[in-house]
Amino acid sequence: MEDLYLAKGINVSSRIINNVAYIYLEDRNDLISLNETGSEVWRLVNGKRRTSDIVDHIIKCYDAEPCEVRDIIYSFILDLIGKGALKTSSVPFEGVMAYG
Amino acid sequence: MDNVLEVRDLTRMAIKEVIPISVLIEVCHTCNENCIHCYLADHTRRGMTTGQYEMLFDQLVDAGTFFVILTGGEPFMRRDFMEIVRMARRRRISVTIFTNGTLITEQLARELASLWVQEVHISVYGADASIHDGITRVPGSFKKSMTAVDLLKKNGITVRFKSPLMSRTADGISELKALAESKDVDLQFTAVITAMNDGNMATTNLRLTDAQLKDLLLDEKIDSHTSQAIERPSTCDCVPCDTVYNGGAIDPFGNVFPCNQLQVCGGNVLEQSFGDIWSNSFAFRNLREMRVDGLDDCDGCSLFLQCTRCPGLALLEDGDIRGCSSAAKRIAKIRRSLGTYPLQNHIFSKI
Ligand code: SF4
Repeated sequence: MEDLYLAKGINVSSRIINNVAYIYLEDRNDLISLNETGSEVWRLVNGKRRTSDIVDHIIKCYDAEPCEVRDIIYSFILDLIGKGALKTSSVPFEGVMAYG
Repeated sequence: MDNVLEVRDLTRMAIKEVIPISVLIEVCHTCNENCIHCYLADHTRRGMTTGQYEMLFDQLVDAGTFFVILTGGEPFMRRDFMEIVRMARRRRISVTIFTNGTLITEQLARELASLWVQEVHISVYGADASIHDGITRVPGSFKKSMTAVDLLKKNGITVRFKSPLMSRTADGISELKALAESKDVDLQFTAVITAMNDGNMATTNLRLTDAQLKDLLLDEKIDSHTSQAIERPSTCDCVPCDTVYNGGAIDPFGNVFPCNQLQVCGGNVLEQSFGDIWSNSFAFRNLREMRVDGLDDCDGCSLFLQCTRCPGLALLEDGDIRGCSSAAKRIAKIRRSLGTYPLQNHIFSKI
């Protein structure tokens, strides 16, 4: 997977409540909640971080086996991209709508 | 890493954790219509400044708010209304808009779609201009509202008609249903016209007659009901309304209420943060202590199972938040005569 910048889609509504990220996909009317690691990934997505920044942060945070964590996070991020919840770019996202 | 949920799971979590998950914001009380049934006593309130709304949305995010309903008056009367919508969406707050639609242009519809506004609810009182414009007292308003519906639909936005029923509009319900179907929009009726928010009861004269209610309360679309009484749970852990656990409403001055129908003010966001008001205001904490078995008239009332009492209306129209709501009682009596029970009984929201 290419190391791209990640931002929350504008088609998404979301909130982190008691460390759980709740994501509503406005275009699909789907609501999902994320587990602790997923919620941390979601919190870190801000349009200015690349996938590798987020993976590195999680590895550090959880003191986990790097290869395994990398695979899990990458496939999780790919899943969110597939659902349209995350957008990617080769350059940092500009503009206030990327704030999320 | 993810788990699929229903919106009601989120609402349940919010009630348990006392999180204002869905907040209604009246961005102004000014309006370009002059509806005969309007609950607002004063249409001159313009609302907080754009900057104050920016601050408010930050506070809502901190408090855990996921959904906002933006309403007025007529929200599009504000020149900065789209900026307010953008502020909410920038923070990934889900937005629903209540409007009469008359100011929505092609460009606005496109922009609302690009911001993924969840739904736009448009007030419609009848299927033709003579009925609708008679209620709004603005000739040409029906045509403009219908143009808005078409523009919003064309841009893929979910539209819902909201129709408060009045004695003079009741005859046109079938035509209104047909109109909604032809436009492919959902239709939501309200059977009770409320008093004005200053306690003026003049608007209640517009309510459906008993004879009309007898007919209409059998319509699932107007009153979803069963013929079996819903088992009555123990009333001591039931609250008269759950809005003070998961709701919130903010008027154009920044005053915070549990709901725009329950006129108990917890504080003002220009003086105190929304989260602080929500969690710590004496008024809201007091409301959260209320239990159904503490309602003076309801506990033991023979109409209890047929009743959908609203504490806000009991306070506004009958002067006692713990007492009987005459509007609810009237409808409960008619349900009893029809042998129906409401599917949702607000009296026993369990927490
Ligand atoms: S609001 Fe009135 S009618 Fe309804 S249950 Fe209470 S006392 Fe009975």
